[in-house]
Amino acid sequence: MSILAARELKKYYGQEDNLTKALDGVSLDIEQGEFVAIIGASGSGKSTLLNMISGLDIPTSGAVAIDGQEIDHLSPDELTVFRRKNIGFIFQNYNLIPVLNVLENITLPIELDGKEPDQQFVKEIVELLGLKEKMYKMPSQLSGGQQQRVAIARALASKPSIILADEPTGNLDSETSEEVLRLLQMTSKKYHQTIVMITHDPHIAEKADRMIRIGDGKIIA
Amino acid sequence: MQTKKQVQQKAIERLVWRNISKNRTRNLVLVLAVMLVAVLMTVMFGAGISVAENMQQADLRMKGSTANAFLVSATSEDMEKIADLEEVSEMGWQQFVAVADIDEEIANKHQVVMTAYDQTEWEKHILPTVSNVTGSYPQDENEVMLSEWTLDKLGIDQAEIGMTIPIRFTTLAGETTEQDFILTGYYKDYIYTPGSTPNSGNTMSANQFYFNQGSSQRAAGNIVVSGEFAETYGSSEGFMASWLIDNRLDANEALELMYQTIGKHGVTVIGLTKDLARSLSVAMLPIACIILIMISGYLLIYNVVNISVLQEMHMYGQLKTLGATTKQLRGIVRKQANLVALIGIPLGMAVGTVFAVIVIPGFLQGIMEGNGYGDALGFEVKISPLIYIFTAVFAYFTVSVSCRKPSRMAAKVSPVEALKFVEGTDKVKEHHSSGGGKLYRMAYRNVFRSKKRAMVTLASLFFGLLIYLVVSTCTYGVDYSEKYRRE
Repeated sequence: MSILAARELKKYYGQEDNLTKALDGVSLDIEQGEFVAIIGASGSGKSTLLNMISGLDIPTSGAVAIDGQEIDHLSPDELTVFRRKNIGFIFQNYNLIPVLNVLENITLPIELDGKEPDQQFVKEIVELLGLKEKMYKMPSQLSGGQQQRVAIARALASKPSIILADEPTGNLDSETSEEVLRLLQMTSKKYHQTIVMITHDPHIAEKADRMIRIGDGKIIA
Repeated sequence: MQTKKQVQQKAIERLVWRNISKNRTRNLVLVLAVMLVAVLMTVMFGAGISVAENMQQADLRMKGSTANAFLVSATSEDMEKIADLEEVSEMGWQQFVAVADIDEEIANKHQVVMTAYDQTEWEKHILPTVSNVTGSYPQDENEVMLSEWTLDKLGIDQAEIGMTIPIRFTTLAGETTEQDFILTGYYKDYIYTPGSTPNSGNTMSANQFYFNQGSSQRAAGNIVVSGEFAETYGSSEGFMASWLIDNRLDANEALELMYQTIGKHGVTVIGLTKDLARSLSVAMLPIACIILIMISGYLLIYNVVNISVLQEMHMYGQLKTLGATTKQLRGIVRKQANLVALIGIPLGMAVGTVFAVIVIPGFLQGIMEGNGYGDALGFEVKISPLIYIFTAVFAYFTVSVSCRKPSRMAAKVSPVEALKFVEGTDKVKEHHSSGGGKLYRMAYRNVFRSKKRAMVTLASLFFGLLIYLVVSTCTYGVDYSEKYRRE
């Protein structure tokens, strides 16, 4: 069974003459442990696709199932709870909570779910990502690359079914980008963690195990 | 091991605390806003309660007795039978013994009488209606207690316990005697108000006597004498029993009951008809002000909380994405407001108390001028715990309601929108200007950028102004001399 399965996803905005087809019938399957890149130009629908498969938004029609559970008809609160249990996020602009320190940011989704973080595991990923010295620093005291590493740690910490990364290297210089991509590859292998990465850059997409091309709201190849 | 709820609470509270520390200025404004509401409420409730209590006290002083049923020339048998009833309590008596010959300046109709009381009558019925009691109740035949009014009529400026005062008096039987009396105490009574007929419970036995005789004379001053004096000089026509009858009975039921019990008419009852109207009408003003305060308080606090939530929308979006439910997000807004209330309300109550003590007496005088109570109406500020209970409840309620909408807005944040959020506007009118854009024009446009917010802000200012006007008018009162000059 795929860890992520999408069937005929459509997302339409507006009416009649102003109809925008952001997604026009997208289907895909991703297996557990895969590191997949979804590549498309600006306006291809890749961000919309990400919102659909991550439970951040609901499709106009079509189905999404994560780890066997259909999420396309859940209520906003049910989606929120599903997200924090099953999905990890890495964003282009990191989206760390500015008033929490590194460690608190990493464990936040777990705590919102009411669970006690697996201290051993958290320690392990903190070390793996080179954040041991920075555990009690605030995001404002970190560089872009360091913040992104915190985001990766946060995504990993709750051991989600899938991690979704939206242009994870978009705000980073080339050297830091390489490093972040290397870390994604490494953690995917080590923890058998499924990672779906959205990007417009073929060079970045190549780092993944598999590429899915999207254009005009449809899968190309 | 913590429970699920505990872990979640801890995470939420951590966010609340950190957020508060970050936004010092905004939270200070919030605390001040809540304080303002609490200060105003403390003063208003204080004024309301002070007015109510002062009026109650004044009413009692004018009445002159806490008893509400009386029987002239009651026999001890009568008194026993009546006292046995379960609707009756506090059976006592007073006796009109003699008339004192004090001063020819007192008009024909007004007398200074000498009255004796038993312990129940004095302590339970009369004492609550007088003030500034010094000394003790006369015991011997030659001891007396005088009211300040009577002392004044006697020309005594500095009363001293133990001083000798000669008084000439005439008993009901018509005998006149002059005797030296020793002053055992003095007090202030409220029997006499210039311009109205004296009708106080202090001297009811005398007034009833005159009334029964068909005379229009009334007691305007009182000399309190001992039981021994009454025994020597008194007669039964001056004797009057007085007691308290359950005020759930109406006048007719009470009279009927009395007739059944003692087999004769002649009992007088007073005050068994309810008169809430007057106290209510005076309470109207503070109540109206409280409502005004709540509305403006709501507008002010809502405005500040709303703006701060809008500013933090990005964070709420982040939290929603990471898994905070609507309930958890609402909790963040509410907990911040609760903390602000926890600090602002007690502080406001403290400051409000200071203001109340300064402002309320003036306020009371302002609205009670020319009320016919004379000096029976005091202007004391009564600090009752009720003030703080009411203020705490109403102020907290105002804060609570003010965050409802903003907290719902935070809770319903759409993560996709919020992650790219810039404060939304209802509609932005396009504006072209040559010359590079004048600053004051931009400022002006900015105020009205969000129509809704502009309205809310203006409404807050308006209500604030309105309250100020209402309160200051009441405090300084109507200038009566100016009013008369014009009429």
